[in-house]
Amino acid sequence: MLRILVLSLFVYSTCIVCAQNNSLSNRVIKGFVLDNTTSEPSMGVIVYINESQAIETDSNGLFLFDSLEYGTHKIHFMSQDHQSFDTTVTLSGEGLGAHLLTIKLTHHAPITILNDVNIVHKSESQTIRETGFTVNSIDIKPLQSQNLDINKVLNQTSGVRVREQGGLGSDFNFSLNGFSGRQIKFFIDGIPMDNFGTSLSLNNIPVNLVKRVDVYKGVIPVFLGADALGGAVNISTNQEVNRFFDFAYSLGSFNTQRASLIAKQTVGPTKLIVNTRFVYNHSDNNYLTNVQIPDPVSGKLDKYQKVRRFNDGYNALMGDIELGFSDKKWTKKFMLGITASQNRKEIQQGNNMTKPCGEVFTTDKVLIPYLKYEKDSFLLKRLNLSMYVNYVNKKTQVVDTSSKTYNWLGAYTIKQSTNSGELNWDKTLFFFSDQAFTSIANLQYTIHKRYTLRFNNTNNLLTRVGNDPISKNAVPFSQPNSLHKYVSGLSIESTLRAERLKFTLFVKQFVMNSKTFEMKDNDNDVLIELQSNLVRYGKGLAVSYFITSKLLAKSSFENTYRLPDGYEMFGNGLLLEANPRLKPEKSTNFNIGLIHTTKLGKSKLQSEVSYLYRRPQDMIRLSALSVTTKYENLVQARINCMEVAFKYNYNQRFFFECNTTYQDMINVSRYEPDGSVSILYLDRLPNIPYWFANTSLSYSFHNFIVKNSKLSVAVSSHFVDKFYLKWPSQGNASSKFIVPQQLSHDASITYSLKNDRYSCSFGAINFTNKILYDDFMLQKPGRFMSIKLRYSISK
Amino acid sequence: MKVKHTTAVLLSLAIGLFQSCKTKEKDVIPVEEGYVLGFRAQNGAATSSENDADYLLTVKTLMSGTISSTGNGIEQNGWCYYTHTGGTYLVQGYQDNNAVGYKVENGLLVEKGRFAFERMDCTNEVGDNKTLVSIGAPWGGGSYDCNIQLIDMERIEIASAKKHPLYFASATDSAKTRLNMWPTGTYVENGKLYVAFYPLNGTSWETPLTDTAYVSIFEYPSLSYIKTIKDTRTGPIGYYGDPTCIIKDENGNHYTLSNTSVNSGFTQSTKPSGILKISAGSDEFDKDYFFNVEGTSGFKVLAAAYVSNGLAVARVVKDDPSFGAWGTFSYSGLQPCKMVVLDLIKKTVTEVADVPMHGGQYKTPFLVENEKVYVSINAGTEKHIYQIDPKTAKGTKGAKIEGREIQAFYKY
Repeated sequence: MLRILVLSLFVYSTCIVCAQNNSLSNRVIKGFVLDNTTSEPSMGVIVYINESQAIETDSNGLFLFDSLEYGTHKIHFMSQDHQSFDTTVTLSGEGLGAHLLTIKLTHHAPITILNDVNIVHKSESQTIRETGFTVNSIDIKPLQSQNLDINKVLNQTSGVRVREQGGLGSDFNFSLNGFSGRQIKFFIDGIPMDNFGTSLSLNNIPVNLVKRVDVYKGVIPVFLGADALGGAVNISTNQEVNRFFDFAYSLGSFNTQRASLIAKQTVGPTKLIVNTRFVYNHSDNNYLTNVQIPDPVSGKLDKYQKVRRFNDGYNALMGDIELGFSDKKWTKKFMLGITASQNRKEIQQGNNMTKPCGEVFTTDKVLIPYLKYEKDSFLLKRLNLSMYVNYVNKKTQVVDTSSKTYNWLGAYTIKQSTNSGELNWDKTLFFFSDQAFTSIANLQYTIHKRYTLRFNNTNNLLTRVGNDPISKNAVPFSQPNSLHKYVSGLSIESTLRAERLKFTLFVKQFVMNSKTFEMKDNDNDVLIELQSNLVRYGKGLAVSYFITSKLLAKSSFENTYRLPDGYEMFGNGLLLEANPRLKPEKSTNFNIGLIHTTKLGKSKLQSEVSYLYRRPQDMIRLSALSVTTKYENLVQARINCMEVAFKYNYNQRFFFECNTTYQDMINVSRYEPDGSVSILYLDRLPNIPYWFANTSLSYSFHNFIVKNSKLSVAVSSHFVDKFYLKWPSQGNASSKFIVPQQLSHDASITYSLKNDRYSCSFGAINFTNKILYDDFMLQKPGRFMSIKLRYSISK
Repeated sequence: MKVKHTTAVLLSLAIGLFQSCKTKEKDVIPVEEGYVLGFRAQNGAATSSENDADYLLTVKTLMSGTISSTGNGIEQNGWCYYTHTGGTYLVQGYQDNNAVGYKVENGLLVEKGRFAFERMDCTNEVGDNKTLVSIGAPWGGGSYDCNIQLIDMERIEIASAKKHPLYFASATDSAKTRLNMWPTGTYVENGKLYVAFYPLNGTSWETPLTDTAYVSIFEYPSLSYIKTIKDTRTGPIGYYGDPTCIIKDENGNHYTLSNTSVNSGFTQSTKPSGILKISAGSDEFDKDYFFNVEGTSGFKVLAAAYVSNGLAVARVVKDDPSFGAWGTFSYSGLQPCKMVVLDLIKKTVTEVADVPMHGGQYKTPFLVENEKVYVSINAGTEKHIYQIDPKTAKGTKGAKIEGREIQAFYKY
């Protein structure tokens, strides 16, 4: 019997363009072709649009037409194995944008089998994009064959600056429109990464694992349930098809090796889903660094010389297995999984280059069992539930047991105090164990076609216990410390005025209970118990409006809080002291943006400008206490931020993008902590980049030499203006410490065969071998060359 | 057309924004004759550890106007200790282990060289206008060796160093004596190096031994150990942070200051605070001299500057256990310190009028010029330089300090 091809077609306008692309890309018809009997993607189906243009579906059964004219489009599907199928999709000019298209879809496409979980995800982000939240959505798919980590990709986005202290696995500080560190929350598939440890972080997740990254600036939708202040980054992993297999290996400078394996399989008559992911990262990070080496006797510091780093290696392993079902009567999705990871990172130096270390390292081991559950029509017909529960067990150790003073050549002398560590006053084998329990519940209720209610509750309990077998003082966390946070949010979303106006109103509640122990004032041996309980409320509004069919305006406002997290409150037991007295920080955020899209023939240009205003109070900042540091509620700041971006593409082959961000962060604390008038009032906050820009250019040759092959060439440049380490107004301008201006260039060439089944990519990061610094004196790697091989198949 | 229009508007917006935000750079103004100051700036309520900075700067006068690091001074990475000899000013980092030497040339401070060190906890002039003695103390136990370093300030480098304990516990000493010996003050006289110290646990800040004042004596410049002299009329001399706890009169006699204060780093107080004397040429405490400052006035004497005719200006504190072990040096609103005039001959203490209660300083700097003493007074919201006349015991408010405090004063 002739198999009947049933096409599931969904149309939406998420931006699927190139890397670093963001937000609304309109007039897209994208679809997904499945075989009716097997429900598997059909590759090689020829899709015609208006009988003029044709493309083939890829290995995932996907096709895409972009930059289309308004009006009705005839779409014709042809396949050797299947019956032909015709449909029409109308792209309406009156409202322009995603939602309209979705509505048309319900009229034209047979959505009866549109049951892939993923669709829900997409429509969700689509809704967010239209409700006025400022979000940059980066489609990672075109970058998956390149040798990149997520940090590198994010760094090209406007408003984002990732400051890395060194090579692979090094500490980094992510900043977004002037906010940084823990003010920004990170999620994987909507799950907060707070307690995941360093084996799973932005600078070691390879791009293969990731489908899309959404960067929310300022106002964060309720479903993410976070108490972030400055924004959030949500990484969506690849879950598109029923079966796939992806393996990649890369080898680069400084003995950097990365391997990743991702597989998904559906087994047996019950259609048990088996997902597996493995990631391996290794680097010696032995890149050349410019340093002054003191004379061993006189200590004299003279000329700079180039030396190889010798204690900066990094090794990490992560594995994840999940089993479950989807699209059953009793569940839309049910997954049970476990993630395990471990890493070891050598520490080459502290916060400056004057004290290199030869034997200090840290390790961490993390085990996370988890459960995901989704159910539509939960209790009520129009009520959808999604839940996530996890338990994190993280063990971290800091090893600093040598009393040697190393120099940059790797030679050493024994310290005066044989009980001293290299970095720490006392030798340490400090070990701490974190146990965290997180639960997230999202409820969505459709009151009416135009109104949706959402409720989120995120519950997080963290307990930390520490010990140090060789410590001579009271050990932090020898008594368990705990921090319990509840964040609840309620929002109502609405679509009005013939789909042109959308808005979201929300309220959030933050509850925190903590029990900590602090060292008695200046006494190393006595711990005092402290408890804190508090409740705060936040509220906000996000609106979007199509002024004309080509011009979308978005705006959002919120007045919110962020609760201190475990790291800030508990410290790290070493140089970072605990501060159980931390209060939540507060901020008023306002964003407004305009997006203009225009098309001339096969060219498409999108211009975007956004203005962001932030007014943080009681900002949690790191402050110095002689040797150690501690987080304190300190600054009142005012942030004015402007972002401009242009994106151009020609026929989906040639892409050009440039963007720039200028953020003016001004200290508006009138008084010093001692009550005196601050001379730094209205001074720019130090040690934060304030002007940066990126450009990128790429071209793809399709069917290069061989059919279904693709050759892509890409170059990109990154600029960060110099900035002062310390308060700009203080000291002679000529004597001030600066983090110098950066201008660096990256390039890559990628060749793929059989619609990306096999690919090979050569990359050169910082190919002009510039000496680059993100942080004062902490030199980043020079030229980094690599080759990446990837095999990816979906069936 | 429309695209071009939008693009042009956005571009000009962007350019306008960037241009409006350029910062102006000021020129450095030479000061032909004046003072070199180690200036501790406000670190701002928005501070983070990397924002802490000291500035080495020059000013014409101490008695009028405002002293500020706004657009002025050579930026230092974090807190610093300062010493001076023979026209070279040494700025020694507390956060990073670099020391930098500067000279004043044509009214401007110019860097002359730098060196790296492991520890420099107590640094003082030798008196030959070219050498400093700097002692690095061990922390954390395991070793009681101090690293006694001679620093050549012409070459700005460590000329020689010797590791040696400051004190040998004898068989008759109690176990408590096997403590870390932390150097607090030094002087060189007649080919001998005198080192005052206080015993502390060394892995914690505990000070279980507070009933004896100690000075160890070494040969100079060979740095061979000679002996340790002790006196039990008062407690250990000085405190953590390299204070000015040894003063010298016009006849070459040295006076040592024992503070015995539980707010200044000692965890117990078992003897009254007072002053001992080592007469010129002697290598013993003067048995006939003891100035019981606490008995006389109730004050603990922290640091002092000698002026003339037995008069010295000192910073004193009254102990209050609720202030904690380091309360004297707190920036958090405590102002426990007072300025007094000491008469070392008559053994009297006179409170200085017109100088407010204030917070203390590590390595308390004083400048003595024309029989007057200049000090930095941080009285909480108000910070000023005060000139103190020891003859009248009166203070005069001078320049306003737009920062936290002055960490070093030098006349040039």
